[in-house]
Amino acid sequence: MAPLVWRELMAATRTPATWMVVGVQITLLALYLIVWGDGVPLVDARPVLDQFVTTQWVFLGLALPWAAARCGVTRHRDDVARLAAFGAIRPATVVTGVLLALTTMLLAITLGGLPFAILAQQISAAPVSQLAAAELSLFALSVFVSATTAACMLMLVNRLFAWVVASAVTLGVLALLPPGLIGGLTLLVLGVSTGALLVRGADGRFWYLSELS
Amino acid sequence: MKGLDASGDLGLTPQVSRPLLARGLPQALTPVLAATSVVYLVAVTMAGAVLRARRARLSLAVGVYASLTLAACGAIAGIGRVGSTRAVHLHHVSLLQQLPGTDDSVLTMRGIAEFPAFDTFSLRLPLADAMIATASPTTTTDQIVDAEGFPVVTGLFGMAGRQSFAGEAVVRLHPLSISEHGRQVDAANESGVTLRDCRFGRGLSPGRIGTLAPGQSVSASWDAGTAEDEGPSGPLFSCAMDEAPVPLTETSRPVVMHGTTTVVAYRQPVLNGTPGD
Repeated sequence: MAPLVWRELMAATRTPATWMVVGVQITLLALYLIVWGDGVPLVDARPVLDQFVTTQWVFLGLALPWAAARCGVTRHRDDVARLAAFGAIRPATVVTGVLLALTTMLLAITLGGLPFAILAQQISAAPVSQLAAAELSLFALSVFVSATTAACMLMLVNRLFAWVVASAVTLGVLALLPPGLIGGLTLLVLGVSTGALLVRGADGRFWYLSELS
Repeated sequence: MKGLDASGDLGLTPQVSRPLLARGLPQALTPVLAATSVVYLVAVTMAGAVLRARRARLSLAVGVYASLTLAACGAIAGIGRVGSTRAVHLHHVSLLQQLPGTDDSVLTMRGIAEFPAFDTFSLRLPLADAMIATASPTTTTDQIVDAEGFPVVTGLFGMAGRQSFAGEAVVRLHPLSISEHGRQVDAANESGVTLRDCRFGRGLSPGRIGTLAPGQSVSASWDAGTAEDEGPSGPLFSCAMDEAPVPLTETSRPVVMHGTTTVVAYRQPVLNGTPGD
């Protein structure tokens, strides 16, 4: 499986979309802190770190599905079937590799915002444990988005439609969950469950090429 | 002091109000944050472009990206801890009231301290005969002194955190020298700094003087019919200076003072009461 993950990750690093999302994230978070570094002036405003994490949470909810849909090599169910046939491996292994690679890539994108999260923690005078909890919730979001987007890409034929559905599902779930450790843990459970279901059904679902190909 | 109060001069002296600061990060930190962010953005974008163009190995791409992110984390964490960003910036509006007939002055200060990093700070007003009151969420005001008895603004503050305070002290300082000869009043700048917006008080002409260089003196005379007869007239002479008369100190960081100090000098009040007053 390692070569498969390696291959997917290498393709992701060579895709402009990966670096574009990282660049947009850096720009947005830097501008946010420069303008609202001491907090958005709202009634009963929460600490700066909470406000910052909510902003990054919303941005990643929009950007990660797009990055996941753009950056992978294995984007279609037929890619899984071909890889499984040529590599003499089970489709479930291919799907597992794709999920691992996608999760790693999204985690790396999320990590690009870590310097600004550190700054928000310093401004909030919050303990490092709060920063760690905030980052864990963002990492959980990456796990959820990778599973959701991979499921949409492999189950739906049209890539654009798959991306729209993945984004809608992600934003819908984010709207229901609070940013923070509880929301993060829920996302992690949902993401792992979705990924597990996808892997479990992969052998039956992606064994053959689709009739369209 | 009581004599000045009884004469009404103190009541006619404009009092200090808290300085106004715009929301947002301190001006000292914003350019550093912006520069760090731009460098990080350019570095990541350039690295991405070069790595893609050269079809670099994954290990190299991961190594470069991780190094850039770690470097950015280090640079951001260093803001407020190294170089000129270490300084505590203190914005103040101060009033130095020279007590006539003594070498002392009463210093009144309203200020806001801006802290550069997430750390514990202890800003000290290095005068024994002084007090500092800070607003606190739990109580109305806090007055804290350090182990040596000096008043301090102390606590754990976040980066760009602010703390307003009010201070008062008696200082052995007379930047202005005032002398009266008949109907003429002479004022001299005995401080080592240039004073600006100098003016004589009500009933003296010329009223506006402007800038007064160190050592320079100016004269004015009482207008006809307004000499020693009248009641309260306020300060005899006043100037503004950009330097703080007594800068606050911090144990491990420099303190940069921003603000204006108004220096006022009064006439010797005529004491009508008993010596015990």
